[in-house]
Amino acid sequence: MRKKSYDRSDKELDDILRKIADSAEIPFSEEDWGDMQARLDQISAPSPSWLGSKGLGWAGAILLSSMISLSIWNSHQEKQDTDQNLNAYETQNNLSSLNSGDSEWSEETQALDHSGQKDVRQAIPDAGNKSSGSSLKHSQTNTQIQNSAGTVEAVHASKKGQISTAGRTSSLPIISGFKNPENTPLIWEINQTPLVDLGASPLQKNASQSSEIEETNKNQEEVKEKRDKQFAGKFNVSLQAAPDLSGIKLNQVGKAGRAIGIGAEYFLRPKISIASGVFYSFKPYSANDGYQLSYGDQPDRVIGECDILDIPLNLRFYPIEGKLQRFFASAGLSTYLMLKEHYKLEYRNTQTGYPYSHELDFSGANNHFFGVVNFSVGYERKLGNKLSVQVEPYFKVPITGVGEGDISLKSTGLFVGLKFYPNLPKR
Amino acid sequence: MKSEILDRKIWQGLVDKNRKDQEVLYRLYYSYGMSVCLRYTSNREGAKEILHDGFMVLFAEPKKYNPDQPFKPWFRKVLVNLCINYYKKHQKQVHETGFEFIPESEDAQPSALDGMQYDELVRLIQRLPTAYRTVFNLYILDGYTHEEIAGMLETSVGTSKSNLSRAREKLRELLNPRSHEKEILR
Repeated sequence: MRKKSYDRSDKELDDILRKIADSAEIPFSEEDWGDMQARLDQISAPSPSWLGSKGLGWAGAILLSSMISLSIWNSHQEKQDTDQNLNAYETQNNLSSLNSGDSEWSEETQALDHSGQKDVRQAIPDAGNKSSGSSLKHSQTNTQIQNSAGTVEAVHASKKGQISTAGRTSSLPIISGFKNPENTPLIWEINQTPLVDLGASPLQKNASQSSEIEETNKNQEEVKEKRDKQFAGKFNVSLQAAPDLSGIKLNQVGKAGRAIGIGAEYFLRPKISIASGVFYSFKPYSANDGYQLSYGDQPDRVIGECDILDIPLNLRFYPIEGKLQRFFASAGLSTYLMLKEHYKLEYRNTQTGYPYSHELDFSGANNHFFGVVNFSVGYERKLGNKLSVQVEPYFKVPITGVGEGDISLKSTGLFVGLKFYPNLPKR
Repeated sequence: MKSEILDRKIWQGLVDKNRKDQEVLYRLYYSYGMSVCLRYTSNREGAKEILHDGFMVLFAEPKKYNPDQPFKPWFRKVLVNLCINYYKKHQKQVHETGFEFIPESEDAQPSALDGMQYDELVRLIQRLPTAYRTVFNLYILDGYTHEEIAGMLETSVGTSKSNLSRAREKLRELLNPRSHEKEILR
């Protein structure tokens, strides 16, 4: 006789139930496998295998280091130019002092006017400068001085008795052959005498020399003034953070997220720069629709949380720039690497009306290369020579669906950042 | 048991993301996985989603499973963990909405215990309140201890024992024809 269920002990009941549970044979459902395949397709589709999130991370790093290298290289080049200019100027000063102050040299030169050639090195006390090919021919003296560091050549040309005041030769040497690529005047300190070429007629040259000196001084002041007015250098790095509001529709923005990261900016032109960086963003959002599932029922509501690595590439234009502050407008594209995605999909059972939810988690499953358009405007103010603060309201709108649900995830926020200008040349 | 160890070739296929091998595995363990998930959920749709989440754990990162170990216990553990997550969210929903949905049995009366089929058992279990059902599943059918259950569900050992006791009581009621009749007459 069979025992009734209520007559059995707990152990007997448990054993029977366990046995029934283990004997389950649930018929296979092709439809369920179809759903599973759809899910697998979604996971395997997103990014080319050769360029995963790691690959793009490397690409970002390479881009940043290229920008830094370019800036350092430019800085080095310009520093070299400056050094050359300074060397050249120092050489000039030496020559000038020799020319104007050393009567012995002057006399010697004059005395040798008709006596053929003589090595001028003997007459130049600066042993550090190597003189070569110096010659005195008839009434003209040509001195070439090579500076070992900057290969500065100075050609000194003077004519006997051309410019002579109180027994002192006042002819000024001309510097040629040193690099001055932009044809900009050399940097002279105030009260220093610039170098001018003396032509054939000494008296005429005196007048033209004065005007050239004035012009050069004027140019020099203009350059100085222009530089003083410039905001900062060609390159900067920044640390930025922002509260971030994301949503599928702008009226469905809920909980605030955040974004933080480092940026780098390089000026292609005085008012145009290219900016990039790597920013970690946490974007929570919720929406009543907009989440697309390729399988199964569409959810009534979706609550999402995404951890994203945002790699922007923007072009910035600075229309208004003062000595202490400036404004910019920026546009460009962002690459989104979806580090983590968490979705809670809420459904309502159509038969019972009972709500149920389903959660989905994905890690590194979706990458969107240049799939988001960035717009921003910004204000930057100097805090010091190398430091400035910047505020930048931004708006990001995707041109492709973002994440597992292909959602149109728009974001807005306000970046606040500190910008650091390394010891690099001005624009 | 040797038969429970996953075929190396299939596992390698999973590592290589071979769709054919994924299908073979899915077909092999669909029934087993579904039988676990159905016990914890109130409906088939929910069970299917949990099952697919479980397969995705393996398909996405096959190396999470050690192919030298038996597959079924590992897979069962994955599914049970996912079911617990499902339970926790369900509980949160119960707290928020203030009511719990317990499906009505479509059958007039469950078969006698000795001749009971799995689907009848599932319908019976699904009629238990969620907290009772979860502890019943974990303790009796999946072999966890009360300490483990308390840790998993973030409750006390006492609550776990009490819920199990009430689950048994409720099951006996449901299996008792007289109490079933009384329930219908209410």
